[in-house]
Amino acid sequence: MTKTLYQLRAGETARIRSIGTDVVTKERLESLGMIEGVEVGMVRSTPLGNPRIYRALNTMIALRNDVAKLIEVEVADHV
Amino acid sequence: MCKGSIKVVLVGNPNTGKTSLLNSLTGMRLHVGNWPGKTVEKKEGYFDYKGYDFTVVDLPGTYSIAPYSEEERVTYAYLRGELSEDECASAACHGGGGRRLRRIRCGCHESGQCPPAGMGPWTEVIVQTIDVNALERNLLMTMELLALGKRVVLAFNFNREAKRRGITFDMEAIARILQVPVVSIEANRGENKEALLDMIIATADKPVHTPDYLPRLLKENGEIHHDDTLQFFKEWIRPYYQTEKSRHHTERIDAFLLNRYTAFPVFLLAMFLMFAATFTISTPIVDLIDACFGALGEAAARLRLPDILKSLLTEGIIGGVGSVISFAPLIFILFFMIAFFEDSGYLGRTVVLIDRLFQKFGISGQSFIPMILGFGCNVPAIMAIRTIKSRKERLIGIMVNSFMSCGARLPVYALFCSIFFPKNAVWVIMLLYLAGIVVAFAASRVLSMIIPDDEQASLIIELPPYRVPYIGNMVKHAWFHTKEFIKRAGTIILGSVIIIWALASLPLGVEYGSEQSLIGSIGKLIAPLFGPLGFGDWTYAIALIFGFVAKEVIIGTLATIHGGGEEVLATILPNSISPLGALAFLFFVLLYVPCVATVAVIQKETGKWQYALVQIGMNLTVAWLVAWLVYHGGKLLGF
Repeated sequence: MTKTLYQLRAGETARIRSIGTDVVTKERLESLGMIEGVEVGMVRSTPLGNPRIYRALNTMIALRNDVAKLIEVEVADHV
Repeated sequence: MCKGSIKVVLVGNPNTGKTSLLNSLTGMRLHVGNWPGKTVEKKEGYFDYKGYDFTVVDLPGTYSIAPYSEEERVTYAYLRGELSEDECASAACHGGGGRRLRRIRCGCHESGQCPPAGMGPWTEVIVQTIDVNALERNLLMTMELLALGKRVVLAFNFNREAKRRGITFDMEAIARILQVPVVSIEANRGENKEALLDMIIATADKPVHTPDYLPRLLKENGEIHHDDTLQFFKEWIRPYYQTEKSRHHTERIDAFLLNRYTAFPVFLLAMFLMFAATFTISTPIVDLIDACFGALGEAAARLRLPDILKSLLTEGIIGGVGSVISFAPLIFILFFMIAFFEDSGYLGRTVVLIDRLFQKFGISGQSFIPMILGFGCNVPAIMAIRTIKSRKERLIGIMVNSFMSCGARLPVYALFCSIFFPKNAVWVIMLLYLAGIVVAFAASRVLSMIIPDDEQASLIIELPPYRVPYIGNMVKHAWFHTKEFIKRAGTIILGSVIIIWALASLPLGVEYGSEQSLIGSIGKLIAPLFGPLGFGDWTYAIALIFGFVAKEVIIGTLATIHGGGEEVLATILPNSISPLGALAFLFFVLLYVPCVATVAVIQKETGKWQYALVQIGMNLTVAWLVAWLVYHGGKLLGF
């Protein structure tokens, strides 16, 4: 099932399908490990709800929700 | 005999132990300067090992050699050999033939054993520090370095932490597959430093090796294909790198520190403890040093010297410089605390904690780190603003940073509070810091309405794992700034003090430091400006003028004019200022013109002296208005 990264709940994981941001942001995301095909997890939100904290390639990355909404992820379907 | 010269260039992702490695390689012999033409800090160290002459250059930590922020541009330019001629004496660009090196250390160049510098005896080896806990992410940059055709040695760091986290890997196999030499180190403890140096020498002696898999990972423009690279790792590295799925202690700590209910109280408590501890721990030491200078002054007064020399020695040098130097422990502890916040990983959390709030004021949460660093010194803090991508946010960050109360202002607060508010000193100091933050916010809001919008840059930051800060690094950081503080006391402050002493002694025959002296007439000229603020005595006007040199000179000036340290001032100052006037004075000191060094860095970072002038005007206006409000508000309230 396809969602945006923003729609993941805390503790959920998914695989990045596409990054729909501008090129500069995309490159920045990639060098931090947010690359298409990589498994990402939503770690937790922050007290004010924005940004939120995600995990990719065993590091924690904080993203604002407007960027997370532009990242499409594939959630493994439950059997 | 000198076998050759090696230039080690340290690169690596942020939080991979690069600074620790640099410290362990170079010990305390570290030279910190600026990159030529740029104000980003440049650290260099020199040492000899097994007959080789080593230079270590520390590049700013980055995730990629492609620049994202201004700071990362330095790394990019350096690795591309595009940094100005200052660097060209090294092997980074051989074109600088014959240019003299600024520093020749082992003397072997002069003895003719090595070819002269610039003729190519320097071999450059890039050492990338790698956090093995995030191996794949770190290796992305390794590929970029290899693509540049550099000699690369990988220093695998945080092996112990990886073991605790259940990560196991076969380092030799990974090195074989990558075709890159790998050494495992523990940078904090300085472990395996020799093995790393041996590997660097071995690599320097061999020609550059380009791994055969590399071309497959490159795009046409020479950049790295991120997804192909990851695929390569998956196929070839993964079999030798196993992770156990376990909840890291970082997540447990975050569950508390980033919790909806506890996050902000903990944050405020942490800030309070930082300043309270700084002040409380240092006070007895400061008093002790001050007493020593007091005794020294009395001893000097008994010397059989001509009166004029005696006055210079006791009133000027011992009183003025001593009163400043006695605050060195305060500076040390303050910077130690800041280093603790930085190295533990908490500072990064404060950014995400506060980002949403900051956005309401037109700035990004990322601006918070330079603000906290501003509590130490505004100069490096303003340099750190380069890590922010948006130009508008950078400009705002630079313009409001001087409202963050720097370490040099703290001695002024400490002195006045111990005289006028001995019981509530910590609270008054906290109030001043908070006021600085509030003014910085308000100014950000106003500036964000004035400065036109530019490209929006989102907040994308890594939150490093929590780590117990290495005490050696914190001490070194704190000592570096304390040394600068003492050095300043011995140079520009000594200079200012002598000028002040001379002005206070002239014209000949006048009573020292009286209204009739030269300094008195200058002070009286300006003092009326401060009358409405409650500190109309000419001595404060003079102190503020000289405070432009460096904020701690304010104390030095008062001490020189009155001829003594804290003890003497405690009896004299209350005659010329009321406690409320003292409070207004402290607010003025908090907000008025940034020191010369800060103005210079503002000019350099913004590229325009107009900004520096606007800054001075803005700060003076704000300081005057706020001090007026404090004084008259306080009067209304019956203080």
